[in-house]
Amino acid sequence: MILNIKDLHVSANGAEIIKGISLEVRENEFHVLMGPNGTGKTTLAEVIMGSPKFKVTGGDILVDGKSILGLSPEARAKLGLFLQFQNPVEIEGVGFVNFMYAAKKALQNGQIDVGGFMKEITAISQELQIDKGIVGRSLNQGFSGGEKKKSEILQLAALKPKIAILDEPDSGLDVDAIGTIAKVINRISAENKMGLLVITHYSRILLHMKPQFVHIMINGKIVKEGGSELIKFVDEKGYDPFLKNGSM
Amino acid sequence: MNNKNEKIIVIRDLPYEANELYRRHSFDPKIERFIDSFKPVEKRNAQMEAKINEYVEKFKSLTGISPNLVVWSDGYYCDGSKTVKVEYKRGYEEAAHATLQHEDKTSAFLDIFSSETIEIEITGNENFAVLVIENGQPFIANFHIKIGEGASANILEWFGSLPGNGSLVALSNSVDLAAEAKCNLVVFHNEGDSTTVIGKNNFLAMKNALLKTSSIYTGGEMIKLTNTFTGIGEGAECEAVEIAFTSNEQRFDILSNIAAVGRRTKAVLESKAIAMDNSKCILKGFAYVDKNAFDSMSYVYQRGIILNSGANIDSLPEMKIENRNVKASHSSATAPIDKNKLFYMESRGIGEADATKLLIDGFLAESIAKLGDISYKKLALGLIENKFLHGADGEVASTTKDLWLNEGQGDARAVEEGLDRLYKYKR
Repeated sequence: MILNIKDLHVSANGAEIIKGISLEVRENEFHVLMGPNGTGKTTLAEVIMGSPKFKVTGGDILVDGKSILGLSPEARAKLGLFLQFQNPVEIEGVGFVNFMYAAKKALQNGQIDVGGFMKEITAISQELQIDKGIVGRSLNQGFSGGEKKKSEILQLAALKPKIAILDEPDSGLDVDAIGTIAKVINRISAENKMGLLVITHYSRILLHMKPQFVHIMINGKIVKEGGSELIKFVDEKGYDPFLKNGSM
Repeated sequence: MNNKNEKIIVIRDLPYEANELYRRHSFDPKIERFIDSFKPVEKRNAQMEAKINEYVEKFKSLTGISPNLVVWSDGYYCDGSKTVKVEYKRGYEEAAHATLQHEDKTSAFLDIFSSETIEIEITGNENFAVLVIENGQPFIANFHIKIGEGASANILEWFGSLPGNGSLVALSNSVDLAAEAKCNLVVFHNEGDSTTVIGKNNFLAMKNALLKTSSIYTGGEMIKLTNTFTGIGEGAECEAVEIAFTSNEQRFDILSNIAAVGRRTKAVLESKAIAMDNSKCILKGFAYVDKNAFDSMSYVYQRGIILNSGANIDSLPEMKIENRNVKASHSSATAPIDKNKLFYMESRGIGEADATKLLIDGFLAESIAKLGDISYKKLALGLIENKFLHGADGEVASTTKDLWLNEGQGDARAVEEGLDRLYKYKR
């Protein structure tokens, strides 16, 4: 599977947020998108997944050469895309397991081995060191910041997309939890040859991961691309050099 | 218990029904169109009885619940296992016409016929199930349920319809709990989509009595009901849960009053509404705290979800508090279905129709959990499911739905039609 973003322009409430981004992510590739707050990273992630909040004013998003701009979020998920939300919504009354079951069933066209699915959920929960109570509770309701992140990664592991966009999987997590989450992401992405686009401000989670491609996004544009050396650069000098010099 | 109790008369005279806001948000059920159809039954109608029996058997097989009492326009029958006394008169055509001259036709209509009563007396720990089946002929279902001192009752009232042209069901429910009595009353209104329901329900709880009621409104073309829950005795508790789900052109107008009269009484009203298509639902919640209700607690909680722009929900909470040493609050919130939540679910591959259904199930989950008996919960979940698929059809919904891991129900075509209905609301 190839996700291809071509000269994408996106607006919300009349203001242009994404100002011509091009990016290609393939299965089994590991990309990192870094940038300061408010630069449009989350907008890009949500637009790829089909959020109705934004308007695509130019360019295209293609999966395997076909535009997905006209597709619903459901259809995009069924193609194999996944978005780990930075701030997942809390949904009262919808049990975590019920929700996961509905999602898995939808993605597998109704064919699901219930026993196997539950075993898998239990195993991943243990690996992520998720409190047992979480899976019995309403979806994200009353979860701490860390629990929400783990809940999202649990969904990623259970749903096994082809390409996953992870929007700040590390924010709100303590040092140990970052290591735990990174380990699970590494395992499932390797086992499933998953393409990853990880969005982050910080390099801490990347200490546990090995990205191949790094993109720096400033003010709605990708201004620099390279390998993991860019992570070290950002870690040492921040985003100021990019902000001052544009594309550097 | 004495219905002529002075305090009860005081509560009846409260001004909330005259409140301008409540009056403005009100439907006129136009019951005059049914009046000429009220006719005494001259002889038994074997064909109708067969249809009623067929409905009852279907209800039993789908719910696993055997009704103790079945009531329809032509008559009633009970299984004889419970204490049921019936005084059921006919020949009220003239009186029915007289009510049309009265300003509040619904109240006058019901008051005139209040002497015609099916009395149910519960003295031990008992389950009791009543089926009221509207069969195309207007009729009055007037119940007086007495729960004796220390007794415990688990009561189901199911209102449904036979297929065909709907008519009028005039309902008058009076439930009296003696001291230390307990009652869990679950009422399902799932009449057909051309049935009109009008009615008044009065609930009285004496000292330390515990009353829990849950009413699920899904059927009927129009429902106009006034419910009054009164904690008279010290320490009495009344908890009323309402779930209203309107679709197509349905009109529901439900006024529920909770009144804390005795010391240390607790009165809670929790109302939830969902509206789709061109339907309209008005939920009015009024809490009255009497000057003698020291240390009482009263809460009115109303929530609504509107599924599309043609639908409307008015939730109107109000309180009148005449004692300073009480806890009381009310809250009300109605909004369109949350698009952020829909997007989240859809991003996991769940279709919009299924996501909507999940959100509605979640919205109602806490209220449905209060129904108590598992068979009631399944019945409620089945009705909600059925509502998405067929609208209001008066039928007993399939209740195969588990609390989770629902493998779907109904034939594939019905499911497809149901999803088509929902797809109208695509963004």
